[in-house]
Amino acid sequence: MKTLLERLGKEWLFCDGATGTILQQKHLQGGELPETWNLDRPDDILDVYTGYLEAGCDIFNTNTFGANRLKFPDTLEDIVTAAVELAKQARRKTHREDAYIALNIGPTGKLLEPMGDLPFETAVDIFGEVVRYGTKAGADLVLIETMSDSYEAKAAILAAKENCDLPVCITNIYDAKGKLLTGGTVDSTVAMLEGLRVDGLGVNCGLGPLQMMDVVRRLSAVASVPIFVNPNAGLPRTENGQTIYDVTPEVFSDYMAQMADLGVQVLGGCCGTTPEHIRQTIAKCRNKPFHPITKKNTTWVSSFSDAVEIGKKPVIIGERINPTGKKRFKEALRNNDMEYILKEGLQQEQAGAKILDVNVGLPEIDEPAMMEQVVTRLQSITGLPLQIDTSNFTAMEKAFRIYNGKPMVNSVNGTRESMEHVFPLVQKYGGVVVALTLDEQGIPKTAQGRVDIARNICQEAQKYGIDKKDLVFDPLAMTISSDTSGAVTTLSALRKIKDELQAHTILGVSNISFGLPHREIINANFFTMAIQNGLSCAIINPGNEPMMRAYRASLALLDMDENCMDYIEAYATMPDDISGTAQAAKAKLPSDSDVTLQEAIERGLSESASLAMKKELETKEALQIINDQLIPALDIVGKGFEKGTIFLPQLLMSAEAAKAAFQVVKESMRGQPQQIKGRIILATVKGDIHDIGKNIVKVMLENYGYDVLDLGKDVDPQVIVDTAIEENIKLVGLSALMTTTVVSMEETIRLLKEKKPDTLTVVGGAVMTQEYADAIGADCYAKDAMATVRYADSVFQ
Amino acid sequence: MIEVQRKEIYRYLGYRKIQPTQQIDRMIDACMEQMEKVLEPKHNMVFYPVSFPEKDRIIIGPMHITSKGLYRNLQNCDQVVLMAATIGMGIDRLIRRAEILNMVEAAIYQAAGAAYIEAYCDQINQDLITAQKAKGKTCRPRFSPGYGDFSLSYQTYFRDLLDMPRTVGISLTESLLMIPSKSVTAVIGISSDEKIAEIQGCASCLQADRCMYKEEL
Repeated sequence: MKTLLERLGKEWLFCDGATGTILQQKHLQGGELPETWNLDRPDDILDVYTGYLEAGCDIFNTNTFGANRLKFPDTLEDIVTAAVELAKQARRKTHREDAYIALNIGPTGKLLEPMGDLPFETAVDIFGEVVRYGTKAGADLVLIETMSDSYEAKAAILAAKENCDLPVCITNIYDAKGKLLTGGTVDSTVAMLEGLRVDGLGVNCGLGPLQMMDVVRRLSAVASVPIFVNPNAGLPRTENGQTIYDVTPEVFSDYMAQMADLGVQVLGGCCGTTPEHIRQTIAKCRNKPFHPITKKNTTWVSSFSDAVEIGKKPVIIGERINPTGKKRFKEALRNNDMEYILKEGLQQEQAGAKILDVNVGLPEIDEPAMMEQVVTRLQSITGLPLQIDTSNFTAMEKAFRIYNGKPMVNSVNGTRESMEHVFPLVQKYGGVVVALTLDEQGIPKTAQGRVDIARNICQEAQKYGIDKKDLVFDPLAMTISSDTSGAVTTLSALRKIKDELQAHTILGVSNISFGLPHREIINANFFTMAIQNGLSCAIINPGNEPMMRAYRASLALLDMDENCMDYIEAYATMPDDISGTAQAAKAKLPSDSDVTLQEAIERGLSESASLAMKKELETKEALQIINDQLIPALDIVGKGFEKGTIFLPQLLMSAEAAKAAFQVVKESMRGQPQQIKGRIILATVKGDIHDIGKNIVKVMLENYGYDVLDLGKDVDPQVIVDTAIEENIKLVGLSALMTTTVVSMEETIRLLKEKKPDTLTVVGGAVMTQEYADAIGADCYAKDAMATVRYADSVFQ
Repeated sequence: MIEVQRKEIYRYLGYRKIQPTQQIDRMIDACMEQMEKVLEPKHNMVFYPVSFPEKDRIIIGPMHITSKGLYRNLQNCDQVVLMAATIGMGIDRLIRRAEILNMVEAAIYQAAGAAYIEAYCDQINQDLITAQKAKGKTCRPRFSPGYGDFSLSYQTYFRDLLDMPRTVGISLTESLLMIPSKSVTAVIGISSDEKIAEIQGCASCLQADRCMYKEEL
């Protein structure tokens, strides 16, 4: 008898239909967990299985959709084992030993961190447990279903691959617009799933067969592994409190017959379908021409929400998240200043980067931990795919594992050691790899030499099942100041890799000008030449106007900008007198240039505040400016806020302007000891994730000269106390929105009094009142950000 | 399309009856434009009979609730609707990005988000009222877990009875907060009597005397 993999993708296979629908017919109550019937009503579950087997399906699901330790802390193994045992029994009873038992795994119902509060590794653990029980009991494959979040899908797939050797297939739930709940498209999802090497993928639930066809067409256009399609019997409607799906077996199967022509390989049903739906579908589809899935040659990288194609036109990769040669960035890494790092990312996105390079390699910090933190935070605020840039293999593995999508990774090279470390990671987690054309002998002097290394890397990658389409070759831009033929060699290598190898290329463009004056002139022109020689990706600073000009002009000239639209949009409204960077051009607004520092802060004008501060620093001492102009301006705004004549947005704008002015001061005072009034811990307490109030307080405190240790939200009392002791902090600010979390606040204060009694506490948040504050033993109740600042001033007198 | 009243956004920003400056107004316009691109409103409703075994005790499906507030709200009702609504994850991302780039926008997104979800709930609520009116029934003001003494712990029932993660994409954290954050769950009582005040608002809230966001009527 053939195994599943011998048949999957080579001939029509059919899945079963709904389990829940049948159980509801057998009076499953609303809110009752269907998996309990594996133990309490096994005959009914046997009925469900035999119904579908007799209808003719090839793959049928165990009744374990919601079976995990969150819902079944004590009986999980029994439930899963029973589900598989009953499936085996059903097979014997119906003489369908040819059918395959799919261990069915559905979502946990909880959202993964950082959007939700379920840690990624915990999710992997939860799924892993189910996979172990199901495999032990004898399932033939793992079928992960109804995943609406790409991150949870990844956790489930890793769990399956790390806990069994069975085939792993997955279907996601897309909405009518073809998107996952957490934002993924078909393209971005397929890119990730194929990187994780699933044996089959597709779509189930959410839509009826007619509504699902657009998604299916897109799957067929981009996927390279067999496609599963399991629609609902139409869209649900409620009648007398019951959920009804009213597409009949006849209509359903007619649609599925149309579906069969779309280039899919496995058909079945989801909510609302019954054995009759499946029977008729099989009858109408079994003899239709079968088309195996074709391998697609497109190169994708993806984030949780978007896929970026490499190869159609050059892709800009933002280079700014990198400490090399950047004092300010190094400082941010040492101080764990996430805001600065993330801001660099978002600003590059706004300037036109399509992928962000992430390099946090600094000897004195814990690179793997920092990489994990930065990748996690970045992927929660931007939909741009990331390029994991590190030579630390531990950091690389960490990043690969927690990355939500299919990343780019920088880099592998032609040395044995590098390939042996990097390729296994790409094999396991999926990704597009930047491959440097150097090996144990170093960097070849000739273009041909570099192309030969590229060829070797290609062959080695094949051994790990890594396709040429997932490699991007960097023929290395060596500075012309030390070798004047450097650029010619690189350009020739680009051309050869494109034409002879038919592979993608990438360059860190600015390396070409190291040591020369006005590097941007060389860089921009080299960029143009490289694009003409087939460059697929460029690692540059998208905020650098000369580079972006070279980029847009090249694309327009090489017919890669339809109707020259991007070029026109970028430059049509630019004034004739062109200068330096894009930011400088924007800042020269006549109305802003004559504003005093005080006025700029009161009116909340950040650009003007920076300019005014720069001017003031020419003639006065920083501290004098801060005390005579900046603080008084903030005080005026603050008093207005307290009185109710100035409102929150204006307060925040003034705070932003003051922050911009302070940034100028910090830059000018680099190397000198900082004037800090005091250090304060801020945290939103355990159980609470509302933090905008705390963040506003932080901005105000920093403006008034305090160093804030922001511990974030949902913070354990012990963490707050430990930090207070370790850093010897005199004042702790706690925030909570809900009455239920005041308890955590109380606990935190109690612990602080016990372990570090000399520390004072100030509390705030929408739920907080003077009465509550007194009751829980806080030293001060602050009704808003300004009150907190006033109290801090009184404490640090 | 969710119709939001501008003054509701002002109210959630703390403006009460005062008109913000033109500068802020323009920022609010820009933020609303961004929001409209990412809004994904979804809702789900399920009908249940309701019974009252004794005073302050309510039974709805598998929920056995003790709550003075809910009991008062559901007087003379024979049915309830359990409702869950959200405007989606997109707004949460906008808030998080704004917290890095521009705190003012973060505050505006928070306020606008609150205004939008409430407007969406009002719309859904109104549709229900109209449908029930055609059957000769009236609806009570919506009442959410967490109001008064209606414990937040019932959120888990809402999640399961409405299959929230699958139907509307709302999940719960360990401390029973909903994600996406701009989401609402509520009980709406349905009655055959003619009591008025279908959507009540601030006047009926226990915190009315000390709230800075209270609506000015």
